[in-house]
Amino acid sequence: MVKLKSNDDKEFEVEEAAVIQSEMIKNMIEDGCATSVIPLPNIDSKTLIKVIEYLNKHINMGKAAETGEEDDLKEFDEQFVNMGWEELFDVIMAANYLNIHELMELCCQSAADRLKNKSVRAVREMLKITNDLTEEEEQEIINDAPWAFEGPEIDDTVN
Amino acid sequence: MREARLRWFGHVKRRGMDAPVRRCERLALDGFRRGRGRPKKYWGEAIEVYFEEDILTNILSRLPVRSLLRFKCVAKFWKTLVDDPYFRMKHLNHTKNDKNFQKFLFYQLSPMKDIFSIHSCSLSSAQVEDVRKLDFPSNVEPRCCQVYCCCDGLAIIRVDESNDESHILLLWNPSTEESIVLPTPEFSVEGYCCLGMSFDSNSDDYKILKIPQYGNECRNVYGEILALKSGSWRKIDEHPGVIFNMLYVMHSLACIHGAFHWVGFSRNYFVISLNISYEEYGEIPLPDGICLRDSTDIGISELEGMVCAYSNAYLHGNHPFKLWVMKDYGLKESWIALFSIANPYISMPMPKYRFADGTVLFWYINFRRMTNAYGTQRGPFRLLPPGLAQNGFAFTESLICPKLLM
Repeated sequence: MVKLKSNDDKEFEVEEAAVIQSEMIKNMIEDGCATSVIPLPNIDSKTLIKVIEYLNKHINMGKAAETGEEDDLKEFDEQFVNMGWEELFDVIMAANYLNIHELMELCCQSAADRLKNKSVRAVREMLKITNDLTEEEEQEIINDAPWAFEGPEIDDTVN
Repeated sequence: MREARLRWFGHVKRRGMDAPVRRCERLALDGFRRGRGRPKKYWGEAIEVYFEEDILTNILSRLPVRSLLRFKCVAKFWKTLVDDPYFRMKHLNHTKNDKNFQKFLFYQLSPMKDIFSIHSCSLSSAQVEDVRKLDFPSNVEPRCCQVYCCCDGLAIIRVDESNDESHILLLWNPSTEESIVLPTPEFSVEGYCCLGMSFDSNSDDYKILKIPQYGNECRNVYGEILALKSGSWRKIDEHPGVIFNMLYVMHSLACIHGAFHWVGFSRNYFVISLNISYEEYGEIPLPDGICLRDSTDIGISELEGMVCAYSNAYLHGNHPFKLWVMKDYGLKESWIALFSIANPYISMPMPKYRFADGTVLFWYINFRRMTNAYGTQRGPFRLLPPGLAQNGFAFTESLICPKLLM
């Protein structure tokens, strides 16, 4: 078992087979740096619980293919990313930091799917981005590819 | 969050140079040989940018070109990122392997107006979606139009504005509608010739190959190659011993495994390969069972990264059309027959794309109506309209900017 500590000082025990999906922790274990608690100073407990849930479900990925549990795993993944933006971003930051490739793929794809058909205004609002382009600059971008700004699929809602 | 991140940064910096967390930093700084694009920003120099940019790149490289062109308007940083050649390469690497980004470019002569129109559509499933009429990369509607090949989201297209001698060859990105005029080859594309284009990682440059239909003994026309950065075409030697190249005007030179491929004839028909980096010729045997008698069209194209060989005896019986793919490149034993169909209306078919379910989309000349149409091994494919002087090409949508390649 490996002990992880979130930045709000909560400790979690995770099976080594699960936790080594994180390249970062795998390296630490290999280097003998994981004898005591591993502090994760930029992951809060709420996010860490989500990440551990993922790691436990994806333990022995190879086995799933053999036993035909792939569909089950796919369904879990779909459910897993069914979360709010803020939460998704926290998980992405954690997956990036812990270097968990599959989780990063899953969450970034989910973020991309959510953004794909959004309007510019919706993206700014969803990601809390301040527009720092001048009106002329904006118009120039629109004039370069007006077709990218028109169409029935463009969604102006924020969710 | 930022505060926590910086705290961790301090913690990392204080650790010894051998701690695993610092090892990656050193790795990054060890100076890998620089690949394409600008050098990456590492967290040693700018922790904030590293996180933000890397993650944003990861997310945005999964988006269609249309979304990205729109999102340039979100903020300055997004515009800079989407315009960055390094990002554009990353995006291409992602879209190349994703069926959702496969598009089809098709053009035809409008019978009423005697001018051409060109469209793109999505090919992700065995459906035709998002059909979009494109503007030609020239100011007027062309009297003549021909697409030669597509590569990395770019098409080589010839548009003739009038019926006189002049014609221009362009490198065009139909997804962004950017284009450049290519240099004029010594031997005009007007004669029967076929083109292929590919990226040569050795010289970090795109190369365009132009091969005449006949050998130079017959027509005194040479093959030519254009390395985009060099800015001019140069002649290349012929394959020694080849009597003629079995190429028709609607063929493209298939690029697979860093080499162009087409069918040549010396004593037998065989596949000629020309390595793009070293410009060395090679030979690959055709599959056993390919029809080699007279009046048979034999061709090579690319399907899902594999060499595909096909034959069509267009003057015999029911015009049998057979198709093979080579599972392991260069290995004769790995030719696999995909299908064989017989339909007297199908002549000169050319495979264009393989859908995820294995259905192969091909173009052909309808022998009865003398129009161009599309079909699959299951029957006619009516989602793409039949027409006159029509052809189409599968391509991966990309942000690659032709202006930056020359």
